[in-house]
Parts: sequence; C-alpha cells; structure tokens
Amino acid sequence: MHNFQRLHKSAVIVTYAAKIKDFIIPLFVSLFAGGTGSASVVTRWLFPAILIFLLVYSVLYWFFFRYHIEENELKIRHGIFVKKNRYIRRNRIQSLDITAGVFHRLFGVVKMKIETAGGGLEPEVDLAALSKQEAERLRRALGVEDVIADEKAEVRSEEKEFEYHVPFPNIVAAGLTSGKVGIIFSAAAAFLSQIEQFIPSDFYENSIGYLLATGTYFLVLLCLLIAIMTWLLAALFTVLQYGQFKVRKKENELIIERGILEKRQLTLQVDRITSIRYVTNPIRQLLGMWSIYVDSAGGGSKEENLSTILLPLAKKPEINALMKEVLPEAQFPESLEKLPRRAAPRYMFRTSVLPWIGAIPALLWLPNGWLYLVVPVFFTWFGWQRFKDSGVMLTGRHCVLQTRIFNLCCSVIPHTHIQSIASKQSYFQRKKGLYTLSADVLTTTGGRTFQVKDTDEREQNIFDWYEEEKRA
Amino acid sequence: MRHQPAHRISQKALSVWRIKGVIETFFLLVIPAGLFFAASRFDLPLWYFWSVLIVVLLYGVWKTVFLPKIRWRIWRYEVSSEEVELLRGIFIRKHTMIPMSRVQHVDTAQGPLYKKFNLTAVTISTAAGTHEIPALTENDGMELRAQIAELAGMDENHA
Repeated sequence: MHNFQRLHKSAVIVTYAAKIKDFIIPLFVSLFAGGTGSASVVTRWLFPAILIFLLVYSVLYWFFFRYHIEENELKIRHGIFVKKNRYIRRNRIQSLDITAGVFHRLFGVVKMKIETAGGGLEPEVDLAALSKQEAERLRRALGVEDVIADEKAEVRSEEKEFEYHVPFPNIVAAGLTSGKVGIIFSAAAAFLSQIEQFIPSDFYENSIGYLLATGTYFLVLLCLLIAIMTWLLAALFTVLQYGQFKVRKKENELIIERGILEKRQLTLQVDRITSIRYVTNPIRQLLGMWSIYVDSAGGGSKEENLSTILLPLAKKPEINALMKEVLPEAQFPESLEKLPRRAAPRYMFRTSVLPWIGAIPALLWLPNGWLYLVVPVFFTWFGWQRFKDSGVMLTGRHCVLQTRIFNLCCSVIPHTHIQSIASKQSYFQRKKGLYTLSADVLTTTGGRTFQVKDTDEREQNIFDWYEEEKRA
Repeated sequence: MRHQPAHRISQKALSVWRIKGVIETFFLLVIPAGLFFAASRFDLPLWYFWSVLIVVLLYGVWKTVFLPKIRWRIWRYEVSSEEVELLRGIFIRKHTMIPMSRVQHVDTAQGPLYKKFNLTAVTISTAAGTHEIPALTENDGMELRAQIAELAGMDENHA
C-alpha cells in the first residue's frame, strides 16, 4: 500500500466544484427555501449543510483515492465506505484523455480520463487532478510506446514525430460554417421573406400604419441582429473549443491537442481506429472544405457525436498532406463507384415523399398554395443529389461507403476492424436488382452501422473482397 | 446473388412458430373481447367488434399458417472456418457475414417451447452486436456452438 499515491491536493477543490455543479438544483431550492425568513431551522440550515456535506465528501474522496502503476498495469483503490479496487492492463487502454479546464488551469493541474473498449459514456477511470508532470508520466507509462524499450532508445524517439498545426483561419471558418449556421440562416431568410407582408402598401399615408411598420421593421432588424449575434457567438465558442488544434503522431500513437480556454489532449492508437469519416455540409462543400472524424472503441466525446475530431476543417490538399503522415492507407478516395441509374428514383422518392404528401392540403386549401410546390420540388432535387453523392469503393485494405443525409459523409473503414458485413434486399429492391450494403464497426458506445442503400449487384463482391483481404 | 448458405434450420421450427402464433393471437383476442364487452355494456356499435375481430383472425392465420412456412424456406446459415453467414428476412432479405475472428462468444438458449421440441437457438456475439440463429435441433445447436467457439478461439489476433 505504501507505494500507492494520492491525487494532487487541488483534487479536493476540483471535485468540490464538480459536485456543486451536480447539486446546483437542490442548492438553489434550499437557498431560496432558507431565505424566505419564516423558514424553520431545518430549511434555514439545509443550504450550508449541503455545502459542508459536499466539502467533506470531496475531502474524503481525495483521501481515499489512491493509484499506482506497476508492471504495465494501473491499479486504483478508492471508495469511502465501499472499497473499490480497479486494475487496468496497459494494452487494454483505448484512449487517454487529458483535459485542463479554466478551473484546473488556476491550479496548474489537469484531469485525466482513461477509457477501455466499450462501456458507454462513462470513462473507466477518472483522475480528477494531477500535476502536469505526473500526467505526462502516466501518459508515457500507459501509452502504447514500450516503456522498457523506451529507456535505451532516446535516439529512436527523435526518429519520427509528425506534427501538424491547424491554421487559425481554418478554425474560424469551421466556427462560421458549423451546423448551427444553417438553422440561423434559414430563420433569417424566413424573416426577410415576411417583411413584405408586414408592410401595407399605403403605410406612408396612414400614421398608425407607419408606426406599426417601423415597429415591425425594428422587430425584424432586432431578430436579424440576434441571429447574427448567436452565429458569431457559436463561432467564438467553436474557436475557443478547437483553437490551437494540433495533431501529433509518434509511431502508433496519435495525440490530438486542442482548446484555448479548456485544453484537451487525447491520445489514441492508430491501429485501433475503427473508422475514418470525411464529412462536409453544403456550405463547406462550396468552399471545398472537409472535416475528419475518427472512431475508436473509446475516447469519443458527446459534443462530437461520440467520435473524435481529427481535423476540424481543411481543404483537400491539406487533408491529403495530413493523412499521408497520419493514416496513409485511409486517404480520401480518389474515385467512387457510383450507384446505378435505376437507384435514382428510389432516392428521390424517399427524400421527397413526405413533402409531396404535405403539398396536397396546401394545394387544395391554401390561397396561393401552389407556391408551396417549391418545397417538394426542392426535396426531389435534393434526393437526386443524394443519389449522385452515394457510392461504394473497395480500395485494398479499406472499404469506402459514401452517403449523404444532409451532410456528405465519406466513411473509410479498415478491413481489420469490420465486425460484420451484411447486404439487405427489400421486395422492391429485388425487382430492380439493388442491394443495401452495411458494415458494423465498434465505437465508443458500442456498434455503429454504416450503410449505403441501393447499390448495384456487382457491389455484392464486397463479400468476396472481404474473404480475399483476410487471406492476404 | 451470391451463393446461398448451405444449411437450413430445423423443420420443427414450423411447429414452434405456429404455436407462438396461436398464443399471440389469443392474446390479441383480448382487444375484440373488450370491444364486445363495451358494445354490450355501453352503446358502442357492434361493427367495431366485428372489424377488429376479423383483422385479428386474419393476422392469426397469416402468423400461424403462411408466415412460418415462408420464414423457414428463406432462413439459411453456414459456418466455415473463416466466417458465419446468415440469410433471412421475408420482405427485406438480409445476408450477413460475421468474420470468425470477430466472434466474442456464442450462446445457446432454450425456452420452454424449444425444450418441448428439443430445439435450441444459437446467438453469436461480436463487439458490435448479436446475431441469432433460431430453432436448431439440440444436437446441431450444441455442435454449432462448440464449432464456432473452437474456430473463434483459434484466432488470437482479435482486438
């Protein structure tokens, strides 16, 4: 027990802050209940009691939390009443996540999360506060590099370390073109289209109408202003979150660092990455920019759809330059086997059937209802685009599935990480000789299925490809 | 179409599915019974009862007479040293391939009905999900479980 050590002392304060955040609602309630004056003793003392209880808990938590690294194994003993032991083998670790929030940075400490495969959202180990040197020591000890081999190979560590900084303008572009923008733009467009209706034709003659009209103008302007403000705020938020984005690769280790206020460092293992996705939305596509997501069995974060962003936003040449160093086999595919023409009507039908049904009442009952036809026509066109954007490609060791829901998503799946392959065929697909292909891989929360609908019969050779690749 | 997997599931699956269909139909008959009760107690029109009853009976016939036959005819599986292949589905036909190296464990499961008919279901789990082969004879099921377990265990390169 003597070689076990505790977390940094500031863990008490950090845990305390986190607990207060968790208990924010009871705390508020008790504060107001106690503040009404006529309150009884119980309600008056409830608020300080909760605060003190949380503080005691934080101190005890820190006191009983000990960890130790021994022979490629991280051992943890914790628990105030129920003693818990947890041993994690080094080679089972999927990701190491080091974050330093504003609060942590005040004390010059970091928080470390360690994840193994599966297990959902909660990390297996959560080290609330470590000094930076200690975190680095743990990272080295638990990382994939061989600890023993490392000591004699000081030279080798110089050997090849790739580093890439994402240029600041790219981060700003990512913020300005993030998904939120589309929503705000359409809201603004809706407002603008309504302006004319709000302005009566003779509003100059009528003073009340004039006032009313200026009122609505003001309202529209205000809404626009709010929209622009939210847009800029969202952009600022993205910049703070992804600013100073840096990707490092050292042998099998991939280290992603990012964040201006809250710093995050995530260590993944290259050969454990289960899928690579190139994603772009229509606005970004116009600019020729893509972002890259990677999945592994652990390490995904909630705000990134349980995946990990490898590159927030960049143009093709930059992407190719980065991927050549980081994941050379999973380059952006040059070409794609497009879907057969006979799949197009199915895509258009699926995308636009609901808007067409919605058009019927509009046509029948609304004045100028035919204007509504713009919507289903647009969706039909979008269905055509979705058809054109979908495709399959089998490139050596990888299977590429590209689809578009709203965002265009090109998934590159390493052969070695496919959990199962399936082809499905519905009654209508059978008539047209089309198949839906899908592949399962493992991600942070479990399985994820990638699929492309309505592929040609020749894509059935994905089964043969799979078998051949395995023998190779 | 790729070649079909070689093996069919046990023909006794038909009996099990039929019995299940009958049981399910009986449960569903609660709805028209309730409607009949409502019609006799309150003044709910009786045709509600008749129409629901007809729908339930049609569903029962489909579920006990036609569906099991079609389902059995389509269900196929094959286990080779490299992978497990499954083919199933009536309206949507699904062809799955599970690499042997990805199989994490195999289960056999036997409910009371399966036990009566000496049947067993085999469930194959990968890290990303589970796949079930229903209604194999007990012998086939046990054999298959042992076979998959051995083949999957031989491969040491799994993640």
